[in-house]
Amino acid sequence: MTERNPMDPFETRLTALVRNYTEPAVKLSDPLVTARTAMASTTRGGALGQLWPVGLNRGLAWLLLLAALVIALAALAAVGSGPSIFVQAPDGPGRIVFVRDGDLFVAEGDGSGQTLIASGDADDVKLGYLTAAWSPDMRHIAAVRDVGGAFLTPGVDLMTADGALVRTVALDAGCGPSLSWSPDSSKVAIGTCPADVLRDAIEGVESGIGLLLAGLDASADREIALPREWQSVASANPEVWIRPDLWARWSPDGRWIALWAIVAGQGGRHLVAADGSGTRPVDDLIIRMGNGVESLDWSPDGRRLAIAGGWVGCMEKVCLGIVDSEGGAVTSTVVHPSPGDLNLHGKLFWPEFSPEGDRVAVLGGLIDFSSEPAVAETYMLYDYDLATARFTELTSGIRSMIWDGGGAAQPTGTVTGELVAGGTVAWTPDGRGLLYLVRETGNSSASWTIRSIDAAGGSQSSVIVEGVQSFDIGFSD
Amino acid sequence: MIVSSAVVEGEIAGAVIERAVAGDEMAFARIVAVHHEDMARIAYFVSGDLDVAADAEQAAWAITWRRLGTLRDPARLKAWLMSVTANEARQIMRSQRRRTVRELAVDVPTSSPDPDRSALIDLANAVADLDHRDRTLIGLRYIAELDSEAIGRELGLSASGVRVRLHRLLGRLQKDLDHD
Repeated sequence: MTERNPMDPFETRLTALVRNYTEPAVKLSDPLVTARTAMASTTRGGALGQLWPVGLNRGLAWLLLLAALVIALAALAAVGSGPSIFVQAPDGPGRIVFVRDGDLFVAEGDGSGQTLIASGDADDVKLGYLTAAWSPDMRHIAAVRDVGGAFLTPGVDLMTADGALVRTVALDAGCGPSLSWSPDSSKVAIGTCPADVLRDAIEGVESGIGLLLAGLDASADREIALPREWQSVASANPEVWIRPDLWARWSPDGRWIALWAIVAGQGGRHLVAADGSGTRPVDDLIIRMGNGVESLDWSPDGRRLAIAGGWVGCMEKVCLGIVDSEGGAVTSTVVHPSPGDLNLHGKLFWPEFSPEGDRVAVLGGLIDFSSEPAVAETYMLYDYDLATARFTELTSGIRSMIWDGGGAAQPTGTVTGELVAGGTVAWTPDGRGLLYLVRETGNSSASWTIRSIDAAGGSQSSVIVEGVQSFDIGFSD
Repeated sequence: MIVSSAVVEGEIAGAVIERAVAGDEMAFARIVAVHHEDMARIAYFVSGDLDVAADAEQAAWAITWRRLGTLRDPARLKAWLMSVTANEARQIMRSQRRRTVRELAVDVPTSSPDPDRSALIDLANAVADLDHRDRTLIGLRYIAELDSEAIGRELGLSASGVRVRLHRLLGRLQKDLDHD
């Protein structure tokens, strides 16, 4: 156990109050009797693996509960997350599907005509809908819904564009799954971490990953076998990521599904053949140093990847690169002032190709330690032009933090500008605008506003929809 | 039975657990003796119901007995027990669909209100407004006195994530308790 910080006066008072409050629960009892009662009440399971064949008994229920504990806040993070299927068919007004208070809504691309299409029945034990994604043909929506049971027991509802349920794909308790429609709109890749989350709680290991291809017709369902050593990062701290790190994205040509997994203790992006024939690490595409590729996006034609992270030629994680998806040279560009300045820590992340593939929207983060213990954390949204290699900062936001004695930074509550949420940027079909999520300040719950901005940087942003927990945007022909 | 928490949580904890796993009821009873009070408190704090708390604690011990052998790190024993208890309390509450508002007995009014009792009522009201996750977090911190790292391991959070949440919760509770 690490040392805790000394309690402040209120914490001391609260500790005393809580102990007083809970005093009625403390009863004198003989520990030996309690121990014998417990020992007599159940048979021993021994090693964890021995419990699984028991079936859905109390032991399994408890395993699920433990799993639920681990993913509790991953669920909260999922509430604030947006799947990343940004359909790039030209023209059309665009339609947004978004989650608000656990219910599913659709709206026009400008935020008008907000319509409830499905209730998630959220209550104090169910979170309702978490995320949603349009199919590329805009005829269907896939939506993750917490259906109760163990703490987070997700199901994926496949429904028509007006909310008529086609089928529900039931999933084991685990983390909030990620969704990615196949390019032909026939099935959804569902990334899950269902089975071994409990091991994370009990044994301190990371969770496994599952990849299910679920069709509108259940007969088309197929599970892709992933290497056993692949581990999920889904129980990572939801405070620091917006979209679940358990992340899947289908390539535009339908051949590959990109996933993020931990392999041999190293996090990275991996490509999984959609036909189940194999996998390969994205880092194989580049000469890797350090942590390698942290986030990526497929170009519209599927031939290139926009990658963000660090590699040879750019040792810090401040680089955006474009690389042939079959391998080749990387064009890397350093945009942050952070390299070489020990007081600045910057990175680039979550690139998003424009519909024409000529530009990339990318987020930047910069932490300024020069005035410790005061720390300023800045988020920027950039438009990067591949032809000119120029970055244009479109918007940014700064939040102030204070380092505490334990080495963590506590937000002071002071925010200026727009804190753009990573992984939630969508291009409009004409490539002229970007939609993105901004954390609503002064609101402790996970709530965001969808805003839009001119991708050329020629305008201020405008509000599209407020009070959103996640969104996806699609554009019809 | 007098057992030092420091002893069981210290360097011989592994040996005690090992013996308990092997079926030594005295070893298991030593673990019970050290931790049952905090477990009872946490179960009550999460559920707000004495009956549920008692059931949850006993159920947690049954689970502990069955699963103790899966605990790799003896240093995690306390955090694990508290986490199991909080979950069991929540599960029982959920299965029974019980309300979680604690009702304090109403005393005959006196000429001046008892400030301690008033504070307890304020706390009871404030706790009733917290969801089970936040109650668990408060319980693990201020009953079990776990540090942020240990809490984070049990809840799937980073230590900094725990601190942020606690910071927010404390602000909320302070506001509720200092409303007058």
